[in-house]
Amino acid sequence: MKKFLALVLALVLCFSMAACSSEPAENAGQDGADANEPVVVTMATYGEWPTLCPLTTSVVRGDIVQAVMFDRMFVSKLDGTFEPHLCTGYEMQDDTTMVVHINENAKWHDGEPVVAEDFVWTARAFSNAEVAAPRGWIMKYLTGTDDSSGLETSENSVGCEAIDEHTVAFKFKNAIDPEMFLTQINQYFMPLPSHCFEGMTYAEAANDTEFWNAPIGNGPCIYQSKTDGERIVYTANKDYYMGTPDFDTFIMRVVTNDSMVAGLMNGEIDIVCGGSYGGILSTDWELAQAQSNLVCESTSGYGYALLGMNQTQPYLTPEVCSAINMAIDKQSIVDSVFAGEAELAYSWLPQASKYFDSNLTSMWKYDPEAAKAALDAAGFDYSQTLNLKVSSGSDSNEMTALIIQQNLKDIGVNVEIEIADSTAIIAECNAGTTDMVLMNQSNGADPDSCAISFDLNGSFNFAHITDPSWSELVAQGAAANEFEVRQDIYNQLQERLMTECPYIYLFFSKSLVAYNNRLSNVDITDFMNLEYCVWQWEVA
Amino acid sequence: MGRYILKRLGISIIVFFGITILAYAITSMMPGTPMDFVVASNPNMSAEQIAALTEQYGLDKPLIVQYFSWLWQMLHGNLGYSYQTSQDVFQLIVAKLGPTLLLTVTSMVIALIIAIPLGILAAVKPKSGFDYISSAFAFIGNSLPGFFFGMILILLVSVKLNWLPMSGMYTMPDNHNFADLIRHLILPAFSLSLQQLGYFMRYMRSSMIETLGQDFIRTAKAKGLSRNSIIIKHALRNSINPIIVNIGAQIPFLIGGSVVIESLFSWPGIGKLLTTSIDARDYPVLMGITIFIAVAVLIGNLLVDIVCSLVDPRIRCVSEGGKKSGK
Repeated sequence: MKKFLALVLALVLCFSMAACSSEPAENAGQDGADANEPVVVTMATYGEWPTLCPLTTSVVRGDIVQAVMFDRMFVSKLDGTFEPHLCTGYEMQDDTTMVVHINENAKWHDGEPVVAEDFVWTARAFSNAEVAAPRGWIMKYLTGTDDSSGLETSENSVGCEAIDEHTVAFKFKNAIDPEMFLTQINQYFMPLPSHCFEGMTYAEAANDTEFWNAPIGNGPCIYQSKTDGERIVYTANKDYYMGTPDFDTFIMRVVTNDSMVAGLMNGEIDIVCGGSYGGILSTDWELAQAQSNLVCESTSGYGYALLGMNQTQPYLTPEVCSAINMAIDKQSIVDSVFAGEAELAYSWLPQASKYFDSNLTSMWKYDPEAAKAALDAAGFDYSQTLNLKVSSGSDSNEMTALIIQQNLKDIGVNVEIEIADSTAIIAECNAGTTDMVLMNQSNGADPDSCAISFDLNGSFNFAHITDPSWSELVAQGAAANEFEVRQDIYNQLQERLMTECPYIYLFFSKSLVAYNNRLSNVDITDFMNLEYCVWQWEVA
Repeated sequence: MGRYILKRLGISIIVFFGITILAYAITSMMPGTPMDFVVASNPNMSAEQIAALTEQYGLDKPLIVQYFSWLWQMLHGNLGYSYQTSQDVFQLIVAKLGPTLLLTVTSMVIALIIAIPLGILAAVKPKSGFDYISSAFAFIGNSLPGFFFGMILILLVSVKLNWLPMSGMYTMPDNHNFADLIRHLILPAFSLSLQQLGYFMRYMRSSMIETLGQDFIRTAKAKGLSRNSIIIKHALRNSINPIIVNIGAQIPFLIGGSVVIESLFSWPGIGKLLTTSIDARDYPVLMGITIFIAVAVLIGNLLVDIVCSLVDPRIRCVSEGGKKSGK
């Protein structure tokens, strides 16, 4: 027995000594750290990245870790405008040709210059059928591609050409609003180093394990190493053409949303990504704000919650949907679920958008009595129970569903909440078995992003809209290339939406970001667009 | 003994194939398909692209055809490719297996190292103050969810005291320092071991009390053997069997518990891979993980049976008796 106890004690001692033997390197660079220690900045994201290859990525968690390694053409601003990044500017040569100018100082991490041929190679790879890029559809506006999938119609037919070493032309099938094109392509189109794939087919390049295990990019951070599913370590690109980062090492870590504040408090994390990819939970916001070592900021975005009202259910008529819209106390949701860190939603566009129809704010108000009267007038059957499907994994969604359930109960409508994971919810939506579904969506700045919800064949047509006039309006909006014309079309769409309510828009949740006060010059405004601009950060 | 092992092995193989059928059927019955997840991530994908992917994944074929196709490939050592990452499933799992094994084995060792002495001491002095305290400790351990205990540990040890890191496995992926690994391992391993600890301690205590009341212990006392000698050489050897048997039985619970703990502590193991794969309906990865867990449990149980028969001669005698009567 004594020997056994001695063994146990020895083991405990060994573990304790090992555990206490060194200080965490995560905190290097913080107060009191040796001047020779590398300055480390750690950013937390929520989800595990599936791949480092922009061609084969299909989820935002992949985009986040790529965003600091591969530059996009422009910095996509929240207001829908674009600032120079890898490209210094663009102009329309004619109605169907956009010319972009590449920053002549831009270099790949191996020292080679970024050239127009890299853009052309990447466009061809995105539209190559064998690559089967999930985001290949971004090429659909260009000549030589399929109207729907964006795949090339013949070998290397995609309308992207090198004019000279630093100028690229994108050729469109029809005259379109350049901002609409840029909004969609800029998000996913990250030019790749074509010189690294010489002699390979596009598919071979996309699946070149050796390269994608240690990719060569052109961004402010150079890939160094990774622990799959847990963290990626980058070194600062000291020759970065936009400016030298103020850190030596940048770490992107996967941390659950529940643990974000704890990590910020103990200094393991310096900053969070924000939004649904790794923001502070609204329930933890007050705690984060109370920490003296943290700077807490919130910013608006394009992420919203909506109720999809199944139009194929005979009892969910436009009158009933409209009454339900009036019965939901959206302000109460904003105040109680988000502690005020959200904005009321009237359509898929936030009020800051230049396409937002300002008439909407006077068209809707919370009025349960009017809602009850409207339901009575519509002959609503109060004995039935409506199902409300909610995707799991989000406390705010579940709390919102409870408030909606109570609001509707107040006017005599019975609602049963059913929670399942988002894949199951989408399957049920597609099957048409839902009455109401509470979903979160995040569209870009361009109003055409609504097409997926209103188009009869749209992937997110959760309302099961069958009236083709919705699709026609959406198509007119996409085809128009003048602001006033587009605005008029989208105003019609928004006002019709408010009247018939196939979708009830609830709120735009703000992105809650907190960062260690040793960081400064951090502009979180465009974090929702994955524009972190890490080269601008200053580290104390 | 050899026949006993062969018999257990034969049963294990039959059980294994039964598990593959059940797992494939249940996985396929989950609401939502891999395509639903892909479309949710890429709502602008065209119908043609979705149809092409469906065909590429073989999801357009009947379920029975899909199963036998998967089984045939699996028997040839190919577990398929992940729908999410296009990576080889075997390699994907092997890469994650090490961290999970490290975490689960460490937590099991911690649980046993603490539970066995506490159980013995509680049994030696039943109804004493120590017995009541340790029993209360065991009940708390059994009833406290691992993730909750983990959150308490993060709050106290990581946030308030700043002694240990709250998540991850290494500070720098390319610098695999043992001390760094231990620092990252302590919190998740203790969180995962808590329930096992309470479970094993209660088993050890009750088993020991039962053994200490038996005739051969009284005989040993009458022979004048020392107390420690009686407890360690005679009582412990006869009491340890239920613990060994339950180590095998605890493997699935341990792996199940590690799913939550790995997520909480961002531990890069199979548990996290499993949750991501469930969300994405990544069938090849889900089946691959199920196979690995099934094999681990079957091998674990087989080893437990063998160890039990070695530790307890009575089991060997039953086995040999069966052999004789079989003749």
